[in-house]
Amino acid sequence: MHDLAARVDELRRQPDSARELVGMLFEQSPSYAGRGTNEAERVRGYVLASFETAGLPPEGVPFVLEELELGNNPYTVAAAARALRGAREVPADAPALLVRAIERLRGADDVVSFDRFTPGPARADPVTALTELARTLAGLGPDARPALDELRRLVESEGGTFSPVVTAELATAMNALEGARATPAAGCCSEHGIGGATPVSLPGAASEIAALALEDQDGSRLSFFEAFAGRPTALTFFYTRCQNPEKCSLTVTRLARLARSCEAQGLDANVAGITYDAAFDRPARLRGYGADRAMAFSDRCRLLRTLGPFDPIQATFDLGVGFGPVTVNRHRLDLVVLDPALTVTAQFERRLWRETAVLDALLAAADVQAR
Amino acid sequence: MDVAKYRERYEAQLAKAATSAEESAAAPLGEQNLEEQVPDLLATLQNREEPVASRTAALEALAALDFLGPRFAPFRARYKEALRDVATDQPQELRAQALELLAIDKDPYAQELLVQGLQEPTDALVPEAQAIQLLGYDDHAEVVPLVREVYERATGVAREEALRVLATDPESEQLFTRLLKDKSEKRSIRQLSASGLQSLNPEAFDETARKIVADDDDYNDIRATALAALAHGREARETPVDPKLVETVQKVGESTRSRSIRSAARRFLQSTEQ
Repeated sequence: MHDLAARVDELRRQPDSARELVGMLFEQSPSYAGRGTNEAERVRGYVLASFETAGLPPEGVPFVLEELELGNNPYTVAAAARALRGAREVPADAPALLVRAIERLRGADDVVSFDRFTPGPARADPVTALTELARTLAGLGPDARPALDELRRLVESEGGTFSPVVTAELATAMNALEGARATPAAGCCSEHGIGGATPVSLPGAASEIAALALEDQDGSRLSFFEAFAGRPTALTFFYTRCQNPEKCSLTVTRLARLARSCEAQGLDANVAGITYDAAFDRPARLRGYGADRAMAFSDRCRLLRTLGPFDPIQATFDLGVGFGPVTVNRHRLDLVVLDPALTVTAQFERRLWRETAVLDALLAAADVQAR
Repeated sequence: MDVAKYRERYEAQLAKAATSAEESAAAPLGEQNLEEQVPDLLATLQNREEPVASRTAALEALAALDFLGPRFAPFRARYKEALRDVATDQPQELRAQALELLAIDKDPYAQELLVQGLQEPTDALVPEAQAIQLLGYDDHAEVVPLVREVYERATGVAREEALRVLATDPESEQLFTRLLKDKSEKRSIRQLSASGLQSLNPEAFDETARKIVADDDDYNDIRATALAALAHGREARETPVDPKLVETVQKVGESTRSRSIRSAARRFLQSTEQ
């Protein structure tokens, strides 16, 4: 562990090290293998914070935005805020995501330090995660103006939950944004200026895992081919003991809604989730988890687990997931759309996917069949 | 004695005995001026010159205030830093409480201290059993391989705590099955194994539990536990009624002299009628 921290320290001192640092952010990187969630988060946060001085290259931006959008660990989210300070161009979504992160962490603020890797009581002048987020907003100045109204609303409605220090930092941030020249609002067509994940992957074939054995929430056993071939499919990944409510719990809730939308639109499609944690997520657990999130189970709407290793699924869809000694230690959001012949036609990764975009992808996959 | 008078006298004694920090803690939480009170409590907690009783009372008051949620949010970062500060402090009771509060939040620093204590028992800040219990609050920690090792060497309460942690580890399924079947094991270990196995693999638990229920030579409390768990599992998973199991339970319920088994059998049979 300390070798890894020493390597990050070394990279921090070297010029042109940013790309190697980005390589350490992939969930399946050896940097995370076998670690617990806390350690994985610590490594990630330490690497992210390094971009403040190393510079944030474009390929590092999705990792930063993901953390600001979905992260619930104050240390890692604060590190993402620091990373943004190293960006040459501010991503359009960033200011709104910074404000959202402040809102999300307002009841769980904590002291953070990126000067040394090992956790421990702060040395002098402790700084908290919310302070880091506010300082990044202030530093963005004119570029963060689109988020000013949302920040004002947050401070007016939730001001009592911030410490005096954070309140002062937020006031400084608002002044910096107010004083800035007007700029066009970011994200012309997205909700609150925040865009969702867009399909990124090139088509690939999932037919190689057609024979892979699966088990659904009712204990029915079937192959990957039997579960998904013949109809377009929206397939996502989750596990029931995920600690971040913005990830798996929300994913399955949105999956249930997607299934209802398909039905309402008369779209004959499969909507399913496969767990990363097959040994723990047995059928009864899958059924309870789905039912609690309003999944209307049917032969087109299922939660499943692999009966053998998960590796073939991870390799086929290039999933961003890492494993600790017992369960998942870190994962990104992944949703793939398959056509009826099990070819991947779209993949949404890392950021929250929008239901309309997935429905469009399913309709396009259905058209492939019609043609 | 008149209950009202007794209560009055008891409350007067309580009020007299309270230290200033305890008084703060006893006041209704919603009425407290946190801006004044929390800094005082934090100062008392971190002041090594204060008596341990006052510092402990301050810690307990802060822990209670933490339940106020949004009202306590402005102080939460300072509170957690104070807990980290006293987690290695001299008074054992104080540091144990601080470590517990941090461990509930899955605090990495507290986890590191606890793991160090398990690896080097002479430097441990809390007893082995408590360290395992506190680390068990985080089922995503990398502590399970260490706890498997500790289980092998531990005795008494520490061994039981290790089993509680391993109940989230699918690789421990075989261990729980073996312990549950082993009549020479302590009953507490077998009961923990029953709940561990039922959590990890309900179907495997059912299979083992059926054998235990039908085994007249096994201990009555273990048989009753197995039977109650079978009933609960059947209800929770809405599994279909198995006539063979119903027949076995009927026979066991009629022939046993144990009240606990009769009661568990009745509950199981009722669950099959619904």
